[in-house]
Amino acid sequence: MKLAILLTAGVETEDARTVDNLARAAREMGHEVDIFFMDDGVFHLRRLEPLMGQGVRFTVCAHNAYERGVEKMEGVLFGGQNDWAETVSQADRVVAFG
Amino acid sequence: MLLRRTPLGSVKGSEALRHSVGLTLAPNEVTAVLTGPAVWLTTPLSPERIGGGEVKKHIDMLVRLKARVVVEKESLEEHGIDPSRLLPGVEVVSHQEVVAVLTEAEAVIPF
Repeated sequence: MKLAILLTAGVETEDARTVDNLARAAREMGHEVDIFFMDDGVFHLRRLEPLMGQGVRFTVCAHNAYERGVEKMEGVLFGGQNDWAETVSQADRVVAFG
Repeated sequence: MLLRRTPLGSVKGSEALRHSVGLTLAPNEVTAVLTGPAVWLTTPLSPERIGGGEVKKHIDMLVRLKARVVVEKESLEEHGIDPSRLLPGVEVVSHQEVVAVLTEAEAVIPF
């Protein structure tokens, strides 16, 4: 199954921790996981970086990252809404946190 | 896309609408559903004048792209907004229709 996760919540919530646990569990069950970071969700990029080692794909809204001074990271696609639109159209499940 | 927040004091409403436009860039059938105080987003407000994000251009674009922009009738009444004040192309639907849109969707993204 392909799981698409949208993270827009900032650091004031526990959503990033939930995303971490959810993505980790999904990978352990053999599912494909994509996370799209948007709005204040881009602040969680560093914290969630270890997930990439588990095979989770990261895409960041470059516009929001630029607005917030978040720098590019190796292995992360700094893309746009079109990348998320493609991910959603191909996903079996979409979950949003924000 | 489900928008529920107040239009001022946050860029969430503008971002949700930008996000809705973005979702049309792939084969996704997009409906923006506005309930509660978010219905103010469909009136001629200009949040960008106080540092908020733009709204009208995203709604115009969604309408041009044939994506539905629907507001809940009951929320309009609750906030005392006459439907004649809404931006062109915005549909007024009942609470039951909102429920139907959300339950029939393959994915619901709340903002």
